[in-house]
Amino acid sequence: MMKIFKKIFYFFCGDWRIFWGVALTVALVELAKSWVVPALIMVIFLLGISLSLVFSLSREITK
Amino acid sequence: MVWSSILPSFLASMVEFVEALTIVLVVGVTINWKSSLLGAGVAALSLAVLVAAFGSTLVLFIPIEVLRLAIGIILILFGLQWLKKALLRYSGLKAMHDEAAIYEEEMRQLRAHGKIDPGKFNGFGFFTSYKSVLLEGLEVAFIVITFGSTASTDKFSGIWTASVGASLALLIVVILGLVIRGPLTKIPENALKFSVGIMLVTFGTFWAGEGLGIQWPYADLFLFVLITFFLTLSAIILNWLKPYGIRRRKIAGLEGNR
Repeated sequence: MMKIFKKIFYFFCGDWRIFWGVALTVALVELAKSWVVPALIMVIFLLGISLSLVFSLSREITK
Repeated sequence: MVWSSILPSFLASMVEFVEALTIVLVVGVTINWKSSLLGAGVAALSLAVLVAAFGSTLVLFIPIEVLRLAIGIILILFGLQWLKKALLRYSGLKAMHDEAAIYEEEMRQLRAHGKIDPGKFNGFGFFTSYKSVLLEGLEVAFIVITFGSTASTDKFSGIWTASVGASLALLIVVILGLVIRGPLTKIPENALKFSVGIMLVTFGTFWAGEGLGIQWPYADLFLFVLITFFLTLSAIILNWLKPYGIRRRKIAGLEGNR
């Protein structure tokens, strides 16, 4: 069963760093929505997605 | 936004169909065409059932706002994976996807499997073909359903236009496969993968953002700003990764000379 779940996770998410980066970004945007100006929310969202990719790639360099 | 569901489906399907066709061709050449084509056909049928079941569930029961947030996030995850692989290949940190090499390797493995009667149905060949078409097809089906159901307000027509893009890609790949009768090495797979990665991340960001309550300036036109943003980001990342790729290749070369 765990094997199947792992396969499904890998199919959709593939990389834990990307997954947690995006999850954290979405949570941060949800939290910040009520007290931050909309333009800043947009910046947080784009920055979070970009950093998720950058962190995931930085792991490949050190391999 | 018909193009927004046709183009990504077409490009993504092209990549996946090339990969699936490589395996179908290998099984056909090394084992026999009967098992290979039967495997591919049954996989296509299984996919049709999955698409009909999940596609209609999404279309009928989930409101568009919820769909946009969930699908947006999944598309970002999917797109970042494609983009990551393409950037690693461009920088030299990962070997380019070589369909000819995959073709040769699969051939070697299948030949090693033992003597095969070319006239008889072969279970191993059937499942090899079935598995590859089903797995690559699942990615296509996923992109078709997600893009189709969120790109347009009429979810049914959205899925229909996305399916047109995927079918067109299948037709082109099958015709090329019949003409070439070998691995499709001429298709620039990494460039396609990179373009699809950019598209998936762009649309995913746009839809997930909308789902989170972000009001994008200039509405749909902001998609072009997002494409430019992710292209620029990729260029910066590539600039950062290239020296590491060169260094890794040098080390690999030195080790190879020893």
